[in-house]
Amino acid sequence: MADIAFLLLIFFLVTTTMESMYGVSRKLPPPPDPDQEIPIVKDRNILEILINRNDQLMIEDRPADFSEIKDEVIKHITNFGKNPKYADNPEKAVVNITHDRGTSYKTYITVYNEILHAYNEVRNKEAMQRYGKPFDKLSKEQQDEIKKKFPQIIAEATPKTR
Amino acid sequence: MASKFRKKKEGGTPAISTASLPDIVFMLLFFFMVATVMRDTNKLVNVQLPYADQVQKLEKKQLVSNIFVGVPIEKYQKKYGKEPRIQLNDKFGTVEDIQPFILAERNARREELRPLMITSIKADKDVNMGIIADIKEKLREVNALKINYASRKGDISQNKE
Repeated sequence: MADIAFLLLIFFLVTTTMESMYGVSRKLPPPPDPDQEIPIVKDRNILEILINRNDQLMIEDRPADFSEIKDEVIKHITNFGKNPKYADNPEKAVVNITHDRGTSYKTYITVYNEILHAYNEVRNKEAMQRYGKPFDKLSKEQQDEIKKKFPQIIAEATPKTR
Repeated sequence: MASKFRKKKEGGTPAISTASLPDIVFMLLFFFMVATVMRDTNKLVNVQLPYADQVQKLEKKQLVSNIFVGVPIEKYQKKYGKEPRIQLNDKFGTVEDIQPFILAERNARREELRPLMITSIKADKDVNMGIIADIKEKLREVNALKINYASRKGDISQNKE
């Protein structure tokens, strides 16, 4: 009896995969509506991030390193109209990623991760200031309140097909 | 009197009873039987996920549909070449097959779960964004808007190699 049970036990031990799935979550914009008007966004409210096919990076028309993305995004969304180069206020701040068809996936994920990092840091700071707790410990309503103040507006330009 | 004490020292340690061993083994067996998730798809493409640290855990596996993107494994390289390909379930697919795939996945779920479905893109770290952008475009057209870029938990500097 015990032998059979052992055999089965070893079989299940070997076939078990206990991995959990992790990933960067994202919501795509709904399919374009032909009657929809294209909103006009002021240039100062857009932080332009470009990645070319050689995985090189440009932030607002100047070559940059991946380590700069987070700080630039934080400066952009927490500017509150002080610096004329950055956004008027967080609700209007847009981060725009443009990439080439030849850009590698890992570079894209790196850039995306850094932008999310910036947003998470800003939201966490706000949560600590307002409620004295980190963002993920807040209730749903409190989280929504902070999300409303610092919405994540990440636009992606569709790469041009040649 | 003295013989009484001597008697106790003899005989050595008694054997441990193994009567409860099957119970323990059965308990473990049931645990693993319940916890086991059988791999439901064969791997046709090589996928090495990129690293990211701002990740979320995907809790409900039954809501997730997987799209694999990567270079075909050696066995299939003769037939399908070394360019990154899309794998949907057990078959190689093209960008055109994504919409039927998503619709089929949607039909397999109960009505109330359908809006919660997530599409997980499991792409190799070295594929080009062109193919990913095509997939995203197709997903947008069928309104499968919740996506997840599967990645390993780790520092992004590990992506550079």
